[in-house]
Amino acid sequence: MPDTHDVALMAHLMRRAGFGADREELERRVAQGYEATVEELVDPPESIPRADEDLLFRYMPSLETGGPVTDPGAANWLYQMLNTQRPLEEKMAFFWHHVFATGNSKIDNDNHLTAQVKLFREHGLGNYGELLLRIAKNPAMIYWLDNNENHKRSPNENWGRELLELFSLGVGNYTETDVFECARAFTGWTLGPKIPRVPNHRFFFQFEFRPEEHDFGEKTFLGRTGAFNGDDIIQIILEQPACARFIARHLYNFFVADEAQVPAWDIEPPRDPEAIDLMAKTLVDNNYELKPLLRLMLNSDFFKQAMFQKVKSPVEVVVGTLRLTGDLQGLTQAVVPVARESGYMGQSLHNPPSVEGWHTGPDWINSGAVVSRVNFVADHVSDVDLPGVRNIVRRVAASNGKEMSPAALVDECVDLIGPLQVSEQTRAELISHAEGDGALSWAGDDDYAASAQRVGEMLALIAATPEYQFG
Amino acid sequence: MLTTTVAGRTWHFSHSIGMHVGPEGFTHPSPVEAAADGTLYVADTGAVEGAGQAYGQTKIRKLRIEDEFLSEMDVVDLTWPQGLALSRDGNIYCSDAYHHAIFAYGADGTQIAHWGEQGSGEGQFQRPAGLAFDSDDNLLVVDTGNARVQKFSKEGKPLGAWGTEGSGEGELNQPWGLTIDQAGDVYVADWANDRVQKFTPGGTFLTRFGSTIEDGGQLRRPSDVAVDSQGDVYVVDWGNNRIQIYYPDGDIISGLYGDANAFSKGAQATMDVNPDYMRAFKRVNPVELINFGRFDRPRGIAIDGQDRIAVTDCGRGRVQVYAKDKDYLVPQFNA
Repeated sequence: MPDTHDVALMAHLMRRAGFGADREELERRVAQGYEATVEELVDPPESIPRADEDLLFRYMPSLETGGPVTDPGAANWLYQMLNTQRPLEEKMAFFWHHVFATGNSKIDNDNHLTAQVKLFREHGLGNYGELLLRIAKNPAMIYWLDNNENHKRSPNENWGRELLELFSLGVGNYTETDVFECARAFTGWTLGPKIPRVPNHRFFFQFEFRPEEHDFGEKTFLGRTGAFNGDDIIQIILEQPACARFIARHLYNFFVADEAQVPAWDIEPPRDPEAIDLMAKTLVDNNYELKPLLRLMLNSDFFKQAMFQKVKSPVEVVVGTLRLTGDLQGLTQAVVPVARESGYMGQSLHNPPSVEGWHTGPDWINSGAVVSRVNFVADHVSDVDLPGVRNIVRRVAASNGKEMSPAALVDECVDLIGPLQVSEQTRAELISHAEGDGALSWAGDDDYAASAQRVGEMLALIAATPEYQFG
Repeated sequence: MLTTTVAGRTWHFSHSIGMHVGPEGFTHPSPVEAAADGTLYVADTGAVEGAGQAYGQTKIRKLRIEDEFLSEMDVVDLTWPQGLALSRDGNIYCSDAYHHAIFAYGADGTQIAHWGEQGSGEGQFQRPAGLAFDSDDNLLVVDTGNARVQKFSKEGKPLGAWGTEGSGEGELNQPWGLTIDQAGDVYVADWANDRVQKFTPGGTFLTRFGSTIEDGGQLRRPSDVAVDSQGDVYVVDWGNNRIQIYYPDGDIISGLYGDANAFSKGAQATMDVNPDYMRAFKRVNPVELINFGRFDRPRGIAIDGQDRIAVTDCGRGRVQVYAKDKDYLVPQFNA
């Protein structure tokens, strides 16, 4: 039997560096070791597969075709999150979707969002500088931030501004002149007219560099002067100390503990300045390679001590619940409606509210979102026919002999749904509720079935506690 | 290119059929079957219910290979069609991987038979796929998840099975399409093993298609296979968006990549009443326009009695038709 603290720590790691894991996986990973698990997550060998996207498209070709709505693309992503064996790769794709927030509300061509997420999946654990260059040439991003309207004689600052404000440096680390000069450097980075959607489904925009649209003149950017183009601008950005700190703080907020929202970062100091300093230095020392930084972060004391210091995002709630309960594994059309659930809680995949992305932490919680969160989790964890819930019931039944007190029921359920940390008051309220039906018996089939239902009900009650909203 | 000439054979692109919308269009055309006289049956996979897409339900369309719509069958039960086969008496059979079942329809489109359930026992299926009738008018069914080929009478009585799961010679991994040649030998698109395997009627391995060396003959997740009257073997290279053509011994001859650069009849009619889309077409760089004709997830292939080759171009909502020119033309005529 693995040590309880080791299981709790592994659950913390898998919630953050993935989308959670059931108890069998946690115990397997505890036996493998914490650092070895971090290494597998950060640098997974080729032999560990992603979800088999071909299988999805073989049976549901409409999920590949794209279109004006996000359902197919969101369903595809949910399938990837549920079935990948490379969870950090998928979590990093999700992280970059937060940072380089692009929405189909404007793109109106959801296969471009799927292609962008694929870019994040394939390169999100690589080099930040290279990723920045790729996103600067990404058709969805170009259309989203109007760089196809950025011409030599009429620069459009949208991409240039967001590149500096939200994607690399943060407010306070550049001037309005820098924004304008940055925009000039990216003139001519545009899209070719694509084959129209009628009559044979949608085609993809392609990146084009048009020299006749590009401003080849001299620019002054962040104190440097030259005939800069977009590549030069990105290189200069990477040389700014603010850049590494900005990315480090984004990663800390997403993986470690809730921070202030991005627009406040120039006035609100980091929650843990030493951690940010160390992360930023690691990024610079490794030429913006992300794996050394992730390795350092996930093995650090500040990460291990940050258990339950984050409010779970809606996508984490949905995917974590499905992985815990074993629902929607493999091929099923139900990925389409279920992929909408996070939207009811305030987070629609492929549709962030703006280029600033989602506000995180306490902002996830409002009266409507909480009801949606609790209902979704409670509906699943109380369904004793789901394979993951059956496993929980089996473990509860095996834990205390044929008879079980209400207190033991609560403690077992709190352990197996997390392990979760609940206050004494919450525990007392849960026990009080369980006592209403007395002790549990696992003696015969009828008793087992009745007790299994009570386990499901208790798990649903726990899902409604304030503590369960933290991950 | 619109014409592919190699090894004394020439394939001409003929025309495309359908578009991705409209009453006579396709959404995601999947398996296709051809009668000798050029009648085509196309199973069209609809959108996942509730996905918010403007694509219709799964259906089977009957049409002429020259591009003439004949009828649509009443197939409300179909969800994930993976294979089609025409019996000698003119009934059309369709496998449905979602319901783990076979559905049969009469020539007028009414359902006449239905059998199968999920499982691994005799007569049960795990996502059935490719279908073909043998010379005795018995139906071979690729049983994907059980990695086997089952034989049935056309009424659905099980008559045996062969095949085991694996990647070794003769073993199968999530197979999809299937065909039978004039000698009665069976070709199975061994999807997850990136190859097609040829078997005797009893299931003994004969040869493979899909190179293991860099000779241009490789496959990535092939979905279907057909054989023409001269024995050339056509494989739908689903993962590489092309058709690979092989000699009967497995050596590669050539590939077809899709050449539908002209609109189909239905597409042209739509464009005629949508001048803005036509103007949008004219803005596209001619170099980019070549992609309009390329295959995008080809899924099914069928060949009629005149060696006219129909390929369902799923991602583009159309069928592309090629014709094989069997008369050898000496190269000097192109000099």
